[in-house]
Amino acid sequence: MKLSYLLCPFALSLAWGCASSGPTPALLDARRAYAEASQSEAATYAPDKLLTAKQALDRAEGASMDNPGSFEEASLAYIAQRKALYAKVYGAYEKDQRAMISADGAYKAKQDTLRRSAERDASSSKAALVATWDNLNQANREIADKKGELAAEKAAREQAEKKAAAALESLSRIAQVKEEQRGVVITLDGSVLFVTNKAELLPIAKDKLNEVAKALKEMDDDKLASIEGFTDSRGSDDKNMKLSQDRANAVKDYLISQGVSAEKLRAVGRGEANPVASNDTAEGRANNRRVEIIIQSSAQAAASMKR
Amino acid sequence: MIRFVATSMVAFAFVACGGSSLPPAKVVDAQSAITAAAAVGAENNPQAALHLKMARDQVKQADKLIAAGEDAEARLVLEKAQADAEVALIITREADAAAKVMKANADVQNLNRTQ
Repeated sequence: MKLSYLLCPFALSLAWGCASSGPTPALLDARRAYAEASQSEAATYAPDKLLTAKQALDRAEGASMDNPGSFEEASLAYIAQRKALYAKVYGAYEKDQRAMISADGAYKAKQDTLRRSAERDASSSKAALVATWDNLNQANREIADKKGELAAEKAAREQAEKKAAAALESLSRIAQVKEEQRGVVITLDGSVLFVTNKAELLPIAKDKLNEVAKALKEMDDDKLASIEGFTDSRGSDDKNMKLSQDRANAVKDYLISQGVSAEKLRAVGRGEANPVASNDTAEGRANNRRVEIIIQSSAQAAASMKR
Repeated sequence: MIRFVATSMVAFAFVACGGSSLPPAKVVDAQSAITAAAAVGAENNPQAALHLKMARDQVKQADKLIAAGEDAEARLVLEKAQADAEVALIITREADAAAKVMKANADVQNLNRTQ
């Protein structure tokens, strides 16, 4: 078995050499393999391996010439075929290696591009966030300021209202004070304010008007005071109208002299209109001779102007 | 010639015993090529595994030829073994490289789709 195994290639070679003068199938395979390798990537990527394959083929061709059909020829043809296959596969391997480098480069370049883009996005997002945060802080500061202002305003208003209420309270001790639709009405008796039939203020009137002035100065800025003079029905209408106007003016002037803003005051003579009591009795006429100071809001003042 | 055969046989004897300090170059080259192919996983690639098996069989054949004193034939068979082992190695490496290229290209395409 062993002897036949060893002798078999020699016997075949001898038989081939006697039977044919052409190349052996192994040499044909080697030539075909080399031709394929020459047309493959090996030509570009593995020329040295291709050269080795060519040398192996030349060696086989030489053996074919010297010892056709020999074991040496068959072996060298076999080796040449393997060398050609090796060159062909090596060419593909080298091409793969370069493709790998190229793909790696493309991957890294793309990663860099994406990273830079992400960094830019992150940077602009951060800037936007910072801007939003700043705006929010600014808004919060403004809200806090506004709250403070509102609280201060509320406190000031409450304080002013308290002062005004206190002033009206003290005023109610020297005059009649009533809350009416047209406003808060302070009624001062004409007999204690003026010399009879004149618009001249009595000394005692000034004490009362000082209290009134104090109350008016405590009023809110949007409040107005309408000073309205009234007479009884005795005498002519013209005379009563003039007297009531003069008395209203006298009160207004005095209040201005005590620091009340002129812009907040209006003096109107009503004559014998709107009596509050009968003019048939002395007491009634005394009540009708009066000065009313009406503290009004702007809207109330506009309504009373129409009267 | 006789000296070469004797040296080879002695070398083979040393290789078989694992005690050779200077094995014949052809044997060493063939064995090294087989070892290298096996190391890269040639046995896991059908085509490479076939060449690896042929290489191993040829080494055994060469062993017998040397034992029979057929030194010249043994040299040729060892060259065949080395050629087959080298083919097994490069087939394995090329298959791995091709797979890596395919994956790398897929990675690039995936990355391009992410934008």
